[in-house]
Amino acid sequence: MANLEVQNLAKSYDGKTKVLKDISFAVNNGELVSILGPSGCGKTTTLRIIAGLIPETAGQVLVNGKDITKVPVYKRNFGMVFQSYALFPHMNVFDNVAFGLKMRKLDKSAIKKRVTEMLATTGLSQLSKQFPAQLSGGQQQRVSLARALVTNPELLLMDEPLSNLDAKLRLKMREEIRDLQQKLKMTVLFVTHDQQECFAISDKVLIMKQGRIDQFDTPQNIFHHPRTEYVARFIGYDNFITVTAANRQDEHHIKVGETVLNTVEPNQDAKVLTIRPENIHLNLADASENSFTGTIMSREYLGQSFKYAIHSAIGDFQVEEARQKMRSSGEEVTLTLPAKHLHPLSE
Amino acid sequence: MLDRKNKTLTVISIIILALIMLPLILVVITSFNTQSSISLPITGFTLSWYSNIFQQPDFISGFESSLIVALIASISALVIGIPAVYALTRYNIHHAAWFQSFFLSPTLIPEIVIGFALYQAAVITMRIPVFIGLIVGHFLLCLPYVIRLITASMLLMDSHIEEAGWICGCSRKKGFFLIVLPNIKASIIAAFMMCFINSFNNIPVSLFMSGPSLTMLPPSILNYLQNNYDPTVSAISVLLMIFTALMMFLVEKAIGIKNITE
Repeated sequence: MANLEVQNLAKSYDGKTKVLKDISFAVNNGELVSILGPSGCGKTTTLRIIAGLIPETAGQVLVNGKDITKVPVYKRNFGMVFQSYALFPHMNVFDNVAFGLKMRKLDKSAIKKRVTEMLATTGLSQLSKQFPAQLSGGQQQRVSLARALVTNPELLLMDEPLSNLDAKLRLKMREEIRDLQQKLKMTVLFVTHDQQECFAISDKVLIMKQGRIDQFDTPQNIFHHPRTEYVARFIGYDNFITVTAANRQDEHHIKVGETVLNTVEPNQDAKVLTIRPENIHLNLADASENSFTGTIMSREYLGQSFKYAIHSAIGDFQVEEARQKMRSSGEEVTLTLPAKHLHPLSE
Repeated sequence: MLDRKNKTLTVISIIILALIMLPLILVVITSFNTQSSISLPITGFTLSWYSNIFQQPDFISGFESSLIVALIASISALVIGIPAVYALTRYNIHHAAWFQSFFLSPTLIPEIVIGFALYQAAVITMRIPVFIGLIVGHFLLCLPYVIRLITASMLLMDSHIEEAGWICGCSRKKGFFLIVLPNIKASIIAAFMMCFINSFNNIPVSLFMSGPSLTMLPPSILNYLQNNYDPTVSAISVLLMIFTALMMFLVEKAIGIKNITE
């Protein structure tokens, strides 16, 4: 496996609208990096350019430091798993997996040995004579994975590989993919629109917005320190308090309405303050700092917790509270926004 | 309610089937008639009209040339049509819709006009041999079938399948033969069938493109009919039906086998 570097990648299909603008990032050897974003953000385009399926408008793709931007797709030695699996319908499982090795002109016995090995790794040994149409979604997914890995690719590209599976199977497959990736020390670039999925399996996550990278970091860092409002919204921060320079009192204090909010992170250039719904406390015994009152407007039952929509003088808040006893609408509560969980965002 | 609907449907189907089949059955019956005119009821049973077919040199040579022309025209329509469809469906070609209609346009022009135009332009003015003109004419008849059928199956085929092939190390050219063609095989065979049957049975174009040494089977039959109104025509019609049905059967079997494995 290898490391991948993408430099200043740009793409425009019609010469006018830029689908990708200046994308640069690196994936280290043995890392699983996810590209996360809503549909139309350019994540699949990025993946397809790296694969060599579509030409770039500008920029370079480097593998192990070597520029492969002009190398045709079939000479790149990558593996790819498609959302639709894209198995060859006219070949059985064995031939599907063997295809890449045949293209590399390996001799028959070597192909047989390698394919048998790969089928065993992916748990497909029993199915080698079956045709794709006879397999379940999960099995097709495995064949697709086996076909992508059998050639020992330098890089494995996965384009929303789990989105055609049902919820339960999706969880299982993502664990299997992660295990396999760790075992084979693969370099993987994984495209998804599912935040949970990508946080669960990735070493690093790249969040894209309208053809740009908004944040590229470890899942932990993104979760606890979203860089922009867009990222914060995408990963479940529901509460946003708009602030301006006039609100600033000092490095760590911002006055919103009559309430002074204290933040642990410095608040220079802060345009928005954000906090996750589960980090807001209601009716804390020791409600002194960052506290104010509000009225519960509505309630939603989430199973493990209740989610309340609360109206206050500084705005509306979504609060998630894990508690047996539910609160009713109209109830007056004190909200506490712990300073360490209140993040100032500059974008 | 459903029962009554089904009954109505069955009755309509039977009527339509009868309307199609009855003339054919009559042709089969009259082909065995001992009387020397095409008439019913038949007065006796004979196979002499069948043996008479092989005494007509026009029928023998007509069958040969019809077969050759149909094969050449169908195959060349496939050889030219499939890459054209591939390009139209897989690449971002400017005015792709216009090209599509252009390739389909022969269906809009009456066949007799195609025949006359080719005769006028190619044979009379440009002095191109009749045989070549014939092939061109039949090729034009075949092309729309290829374009229609192959376009449909090319659009149905997931384009990622081909891309997966490239990723596996297969060049575009190789991928076309190893991945695209096998997956549209059924419609290639279907297109070939349509082309062959249409070319083989064509009269309007073949009528113009004939010469002293070159007559196609359908015009020969027409010609024979004008001079002799005897059951030989019925007999040859029966043989042609059997020939076509046999081809259909063989092709159906070939596609059928493939469908089971898919």
